[in-house]
Amino acid sequence: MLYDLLSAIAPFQNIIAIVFFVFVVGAMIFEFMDKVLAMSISICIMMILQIVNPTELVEMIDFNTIFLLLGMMIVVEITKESRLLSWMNIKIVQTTKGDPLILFILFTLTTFTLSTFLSNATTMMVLVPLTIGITKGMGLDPKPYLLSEIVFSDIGGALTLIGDPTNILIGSANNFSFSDFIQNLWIPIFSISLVMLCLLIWKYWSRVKPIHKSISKLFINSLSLRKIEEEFNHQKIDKTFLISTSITLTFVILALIFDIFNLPLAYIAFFGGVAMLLVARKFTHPHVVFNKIDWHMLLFFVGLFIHIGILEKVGALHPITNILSGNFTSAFELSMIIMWVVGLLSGFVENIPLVAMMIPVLQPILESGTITGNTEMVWYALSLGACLGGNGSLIGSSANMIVAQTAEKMGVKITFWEYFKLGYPITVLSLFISSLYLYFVA
Amino acid sequence: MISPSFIDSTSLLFRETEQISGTRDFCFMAMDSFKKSVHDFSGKKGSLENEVLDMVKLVKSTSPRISLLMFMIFKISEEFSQYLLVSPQASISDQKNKLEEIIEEVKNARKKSSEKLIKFSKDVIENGDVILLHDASHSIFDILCQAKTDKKQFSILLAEREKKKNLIIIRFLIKHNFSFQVVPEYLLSQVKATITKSMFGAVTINSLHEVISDAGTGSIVSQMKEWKIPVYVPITNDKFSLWEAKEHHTYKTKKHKISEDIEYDKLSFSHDRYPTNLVTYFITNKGILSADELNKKYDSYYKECSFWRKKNKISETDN
Repeated sequence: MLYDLLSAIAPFQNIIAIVFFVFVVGAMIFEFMDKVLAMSISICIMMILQIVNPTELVEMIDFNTIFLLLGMMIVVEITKESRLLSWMNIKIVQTTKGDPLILFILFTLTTFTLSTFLSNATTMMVLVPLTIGITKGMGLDPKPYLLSEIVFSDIGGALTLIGDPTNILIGSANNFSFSDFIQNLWIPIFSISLVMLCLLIWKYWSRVKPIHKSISKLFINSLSLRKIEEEFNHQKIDKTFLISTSITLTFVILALIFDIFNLPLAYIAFFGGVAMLLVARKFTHPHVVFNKIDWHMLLFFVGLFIHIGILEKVGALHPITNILSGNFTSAFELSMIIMWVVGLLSGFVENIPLVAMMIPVLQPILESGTITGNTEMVWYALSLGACLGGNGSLIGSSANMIVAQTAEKMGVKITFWEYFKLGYPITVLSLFISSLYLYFVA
Repeated sequence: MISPSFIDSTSLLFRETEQISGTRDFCFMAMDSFKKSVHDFSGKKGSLENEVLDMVKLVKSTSPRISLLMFMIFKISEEFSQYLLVSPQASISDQKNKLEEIIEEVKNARKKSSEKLIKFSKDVIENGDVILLHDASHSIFDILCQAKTDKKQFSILLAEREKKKNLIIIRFLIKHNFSFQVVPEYLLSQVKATITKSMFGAVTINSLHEVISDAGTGSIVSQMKEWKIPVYVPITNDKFSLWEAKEHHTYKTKKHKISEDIEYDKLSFSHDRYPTNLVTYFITNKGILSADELNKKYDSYYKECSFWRKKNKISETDN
């Protein structure tokens, strides 16, 4: 009977795979079920229906990506344990001397810089409470600062291989190095950053302008700074831990950027994580670090690779491949359509499964030799679309949601529409600037 | 015009900073911040006086008021106004320099009050004393350090309370090599026989002759009184709240969640209050005073300040 059932559904494997993929994406968007649970259920059923077997399942998983993510998570957790990030933030705040405009610019640039090396979600988890605490304490409105941080976390994440999970997927699939991303994306990303910074300062001028004409405001700013310093001084910071973490972290980042060991990035990241655990062993127990690793995210990636692999296996992605290869012959045209479609969709759909799905679609097209021009730029166009598109709405990326939720707990409400009126035009403008860049290089 | 939201955020900043640093050090930080803000000010000539008056309005409007800070700001404002009467043609740069000078003088005068208090405290601690502490009063810290410098042999018993405050006190005790033990604040009955003296900090004294203090102090002071253990409270006279006090003030927090299914309203107060007559001696910058002597001193200052209250429109407060 089972054999008869399996025979009956064999012609419909591609439809079943698509249905389960939609089910999983639906769970991500509408949150009616945990996404990893949804993935696990669909994988189990597809295994029972013999759409995929265990050997194929393991081969579908990109362990390079998993180990790269795991390595970076260990590095980030130990960096947080050492309070290096808290120390850096205090130094940044002291530099501003309470000036709202300098605070705005420095928080924005800090978000941008941290997002290039840490996940956007981690960056926001560290920065949001600090931003709200400092701005509220100074009698400033936290919203302009938070909204700017949301925008720049997505922009900054686009610059490097490890800045955004979508870049990790793209880089891993194409053996792009850390410096490849920076070399090919620094022009559009820095241009977008400059334009957005000027726009945001202009938009929020009344709330971030210098306050040198008000002693009361200067007084509150100065007192807030002193309070922050006093609170920081009361925290126990082990200088040895802080310094050894900083040195190891610098070495890991340099090894990633300059490809010192000529090894796959996943190895460097994983070795870096192990090195950090070794350095930190006197100060924090490894199980404390491992308890804080986002295993849920790692399982999510495992499940995602399996789902995309199944879609590929059953030929469900062929129609998309055929449409793209049939209608576009130049790298520029293909880059533009990919960037804009992914970019505009990423505001509402999780960009990670979108990018994971596009990789096996684009690979055969670009390897076929039918696309003229700089075909490598198609991948960077995908990266730009996925990362910049995350600015489209509050649900555009998990980091955006983290900001909104954390802010609400601390009494600052950012509504969907409030952010959408800012975020979507920013996304469109960012994609436009990227289009100009692609016109010249693709 | 100072907005209500600005006043609210200022009140919160004052409360939180005072809780971390203690009243005295908070006021010094405030003076340093005031001085810096005058230095960074880039307004036109003629605007500085209005800015100082805005500072007075701001400090007067915070809730709860910090009396020591209020006095310092009022003093600065009055001295600056007198300077402007005498030197109306002074440039903005000269005005700023003078204002910074006045702030520094007021801060130093406050430091001298603290020094006098320490001087009067010299004979309070004796060899063999076991002193009960509860709050992170910097005045008490200074008294203990002075006693150690005078080579007095004594130990500390710390009544354990919330973690954050405990940490401040324990770090201080370890840093200065004091011999100490910790006991939960709700089990002092088990160790009362060993305590020879107790010391508690005070935020202010109000017109109801109440000591305003850290949360939880009132009940411990009552226990000390009951067990006839001497209670010492260091306080300088510039910390007195010389306006009419309200009977009660409450702060209601948001819902408090203790578990997934249990949530309730939790009342939260910024400070505790207890009558001055529970205190055996007040250590002040005017000497060691009994509760009655302190109350009489308070009343005479209160009377002297009636003109000042009318001039600055100071009425009820929640201290």
